Amino acid sequence: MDATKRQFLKNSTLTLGLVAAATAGLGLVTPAFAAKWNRKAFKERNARSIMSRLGFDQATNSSKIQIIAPHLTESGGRVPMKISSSIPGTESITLIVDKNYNPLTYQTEIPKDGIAFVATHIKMAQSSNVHVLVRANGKNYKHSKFVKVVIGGC
Amino acid sequence: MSSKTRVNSKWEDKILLVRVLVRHPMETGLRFDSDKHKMVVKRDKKTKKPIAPHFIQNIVATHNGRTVVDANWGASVSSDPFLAFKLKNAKKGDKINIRWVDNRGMKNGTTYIVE
Repeated sequence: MDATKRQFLKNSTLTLGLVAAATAGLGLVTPAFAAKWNRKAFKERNARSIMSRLGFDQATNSSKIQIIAPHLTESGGRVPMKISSSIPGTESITLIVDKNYNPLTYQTEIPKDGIAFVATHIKMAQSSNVHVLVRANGKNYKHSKFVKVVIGGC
Repeated sequence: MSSKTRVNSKWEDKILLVRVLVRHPMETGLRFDSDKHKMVVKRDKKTKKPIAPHFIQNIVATHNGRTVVDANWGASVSSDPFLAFKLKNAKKGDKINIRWVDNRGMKNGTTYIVE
């Protein structure tokens, strides 16, 4: 990398840093994250639209995507979900809960030579299909599972 | 020591399972309406303002400086969120750094030394 390019990058990072520091106090998402956090997809109410928006409507179904989740869960507020992908070159794992108010739950990026495994607890408003979208080596794959939720009356 | 982000790890043969627990409300601003039988935007009775969502938007985990997880979250992730991931080529003494930022710009994180 030559000196001028290095200087340019150094300057732009500094500017970004200053802008980030300035906006952080306002409670706005700092620019560095705003670029990555897909606001439109996260605010979207329809699962199919999210999948189209992310480019997964033509994704092939793959059984190499493992969704480990309970068939039936009592508490919709905390559903354990373990996702792993044995598709070589997995770069990202995205989780969509069909019947949630905002179906897009998370998008995780994984280094290519890392282990494509991510576990979290998610909220499910009601019994619903859970779709996992995996991007590997430039190709899109998906897999789904139905999880039943019994929301105790309270 | 930050009590907001807690990390521990467990060896599964040569793979390290890292578990992170963050104390955070992950507020969606929605409540279950039993009449309509669905989640609705809940408004405060007095002020009529909707409850502001407050949730972690991004969480990044690095292993000895190298990013291993870069996750964007929505409010659908459970409150006091849990995250687990696996690392190969980890060894005792390695540094795992977790940093998160929420939609109000609040940041926190912690560094964990592998045992």
